Amino acid sequence: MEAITSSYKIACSQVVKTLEYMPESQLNKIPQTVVEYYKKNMDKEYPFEIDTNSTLSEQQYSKDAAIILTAIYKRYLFDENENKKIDAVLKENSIKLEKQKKELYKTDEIFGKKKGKKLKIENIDTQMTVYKESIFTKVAKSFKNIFWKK
Amino acid sequence: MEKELLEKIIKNQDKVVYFMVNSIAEMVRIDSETGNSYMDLSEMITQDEDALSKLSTNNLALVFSSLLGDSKAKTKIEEMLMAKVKAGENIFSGINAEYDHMGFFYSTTWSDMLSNFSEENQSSILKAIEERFNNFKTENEAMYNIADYLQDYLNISNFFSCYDRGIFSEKAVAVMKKIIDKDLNIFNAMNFNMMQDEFLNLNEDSLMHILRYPNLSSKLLLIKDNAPELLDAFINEVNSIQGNEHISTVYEEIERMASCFAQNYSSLNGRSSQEAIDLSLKNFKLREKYLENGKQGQSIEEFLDEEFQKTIQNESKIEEKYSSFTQESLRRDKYEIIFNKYFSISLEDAERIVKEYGEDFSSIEEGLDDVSKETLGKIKAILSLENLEELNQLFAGKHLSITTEIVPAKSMIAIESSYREAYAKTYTKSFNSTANKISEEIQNGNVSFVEADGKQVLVVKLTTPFNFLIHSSDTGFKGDKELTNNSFKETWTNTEDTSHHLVATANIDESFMGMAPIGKNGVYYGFVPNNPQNINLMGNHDIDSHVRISKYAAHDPKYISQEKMPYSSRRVYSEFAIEKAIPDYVIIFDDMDETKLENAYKAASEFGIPVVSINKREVVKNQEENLENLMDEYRKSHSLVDLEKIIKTFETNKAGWLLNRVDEKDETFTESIQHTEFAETFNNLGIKIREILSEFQKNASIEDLKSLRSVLESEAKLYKSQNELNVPFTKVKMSDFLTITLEETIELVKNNDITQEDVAKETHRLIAAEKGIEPEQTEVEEK
Repeated sequence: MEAITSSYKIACSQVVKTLEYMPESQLNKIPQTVVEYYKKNMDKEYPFEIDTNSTLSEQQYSKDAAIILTAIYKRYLFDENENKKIDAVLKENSIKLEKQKKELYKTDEIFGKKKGKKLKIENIDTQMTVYKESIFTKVAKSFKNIFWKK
Repeated sequence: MEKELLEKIIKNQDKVVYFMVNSIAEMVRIDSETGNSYMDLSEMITQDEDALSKLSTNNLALVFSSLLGDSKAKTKIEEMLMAKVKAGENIFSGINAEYDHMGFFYSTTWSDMLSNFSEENQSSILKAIEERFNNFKTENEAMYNIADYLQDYLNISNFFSCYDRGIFSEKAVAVMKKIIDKDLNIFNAMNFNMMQDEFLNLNEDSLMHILRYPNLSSKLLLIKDNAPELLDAFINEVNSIQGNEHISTVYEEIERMASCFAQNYSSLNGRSSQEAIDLSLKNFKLREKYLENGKQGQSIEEFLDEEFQKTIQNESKIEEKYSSFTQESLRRDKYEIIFNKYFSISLEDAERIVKEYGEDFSSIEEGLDDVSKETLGKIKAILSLENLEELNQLFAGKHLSITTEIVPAKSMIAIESSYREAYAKTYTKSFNSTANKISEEIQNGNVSFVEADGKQVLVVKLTTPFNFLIHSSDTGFKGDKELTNNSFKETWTNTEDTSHHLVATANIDESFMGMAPIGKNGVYYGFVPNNPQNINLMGNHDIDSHVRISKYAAHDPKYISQEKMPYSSRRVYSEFAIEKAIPDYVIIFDDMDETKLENAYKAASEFGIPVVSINKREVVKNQEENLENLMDEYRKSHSLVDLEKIIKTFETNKAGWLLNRVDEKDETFTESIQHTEFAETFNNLGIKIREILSEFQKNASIEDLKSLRSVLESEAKLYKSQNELNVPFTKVKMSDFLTITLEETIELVKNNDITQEDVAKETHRLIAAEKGIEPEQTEVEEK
């Protein structure tokens, strides 16, 4: 059984919210069991709002959420020709990453001057998108401050 | 402590009567001294015989009228009042029958007062008034003929009280005759104490306006008795502005001066007339604090400076962990003082002004004077400042980008009026063209005649375009209205609407036909006012205009130009309050039943005005053709501007027929509005528009998609801002338009450096989920 990480749960929340905003004509193409899977695994406490003034790529998605959405769109929404265009970009990104890895894992540099760079890349891979503090969180914090004063 | 408070109440009894209920400031001042509640105060005064005996007859009667149920106190006061009646005293000398009087603790009415007496006492009181009235004919026939127009015992009693005190001079008699001639409603609403010579120095229009509102009269009587010099200042100021300033400015100043002078006559004592007037026109919040706490000889400007310095001292004391809370509160305190100092308005007013007049500013900019334009711009700029230090600089007049000069209170009132007028002007032009079109049809003989009430009523068939303000005389909102003497005209001129100086109307034109329904005895009256000063309140939704108060007030009004108003209204109708006048037309529609048509013809016959006939089916046909034309234009241009026009026009047209609601049953007063026969037309148009939208999205650039979404979002916001009453409306579903496109997905992949491996891993999960199994138990298969 696959372990579900907390960052994946957050990604599921973002995906479910996005699906709520999807037109029925497109949503109907996604199997209900798939939608249920993401609902089941989502972090129900996680607040996420879609900014309807922004494009898909400008939403504050975590990388995991962006991956899930791409996978969904590719599998259920786009036709063969459209998928070829997406595949080309995915391939480009894979090659780019591969190159970066090769650069980073040159044996003579692992413990050398580029150590810092490696760590930086690792950070990128694992970092979560930072979200603006929601108003509810702020209010809750303020209340805590009041009670804790005593 | 209680004794002292009681003495204070007795000493200021008239003031307490007028302000106990209305003025929060006064209430707090009394309550804060003792911690007493309203009820405690009521009990304290009614239990104390000595205190009761010190009340004037008028105030004793008001206390009596506010008592509920049976009590010893009530019996005692009734005895005291009846003893006065038996001694020949008029216990209703300062009271008249219309509307609410401020009782000591609750607002009361004539019927409250009378019904508190025992049945026996009630009939003896009424009998005494009746006998006096019957004998009055022989006593003074000329005055009897005037009193004979009165319809209520209490008003007659009020009239006799003033007559007996000899306050009716020849001038007063002439004024009363004029009022009877001009508006019998006012005669039946007025307090005859206002016929004292001092008040007759007021110009006729202002006096008539004041007489409609007994509470306003009461304040002026209080000023006359306690500070005659302030009454002189009031009268001089009102006479100097009437006719020279916008009517809404005059009414606003009347209300502000009367309230401030009546409430603060002691504190204003010793100040010059001009200073008293200037203070009265300022926002009340800090002004009251200044009048109560300001130091001897200190000007309000010095007081505000001192208050601001206090906020600066507080600023330095903010603890880090409470900063977000305190800073916001401090920011609002500073704003309050800044707006009071430089504009004589409160922060709340500043925010309101920007909200009410700022949305469609570009449409009226040309018609405004420089001061009005700059003032709104400056208020907006100030409101956008967030930094406390910037506010400090601003207050000190040292802000780098915002210059600060004091705009006097009087100018601020006038600026608001000029905004109202500028917006109103965008309508009068269009109303004139409708009026001209109707006149031309009549001149060219394109009319028909219908007989009603023995007269020939002229019917003009009107085609698009047109623009009216339309009033539904009986919305059925509170049940069907009864007609006065079976006459529409009498119902319009002599009804319970005595205090109304405004009429609530809806604005209809060929694109937006939203209006209130009419009930069994209802008629649609059409107005095409050509004087912008007569259009004073407007909003793109039901603004619940307060037609029964002397100034202009409504719930969330919003001023929008004629060109844009229909396109911003999504809730039943857009509301306009206009000065009450005889209607220009009666309007009929092709879907009215026989009764409503008969009503319309009868009303037109009584008023002697034409009937304008509008065919809704033709209006829908024109709307359909217009939308088809817009779609054709789009198909040629593929421009977002054309697409926006289609969306806004479609939503506007549909909302006007109330076809923008969900299928839930309408249980509101608009239930009777049925335009389902047009639903199919709009459904078909909707399908075509959606096709166009999908096509646009397929080919649109990211930038165009963003622009489209902002158009759709603004539509959704219109519904959100107007959907406060939980009436079931269809909000624009953003999801209907948020189709996922290839371009956006590619952007998403690029921006997140998503690789083939990432997607393959997730696809593995998708396949598992499709089969309803956990991810590890399946293998990736290509699809």
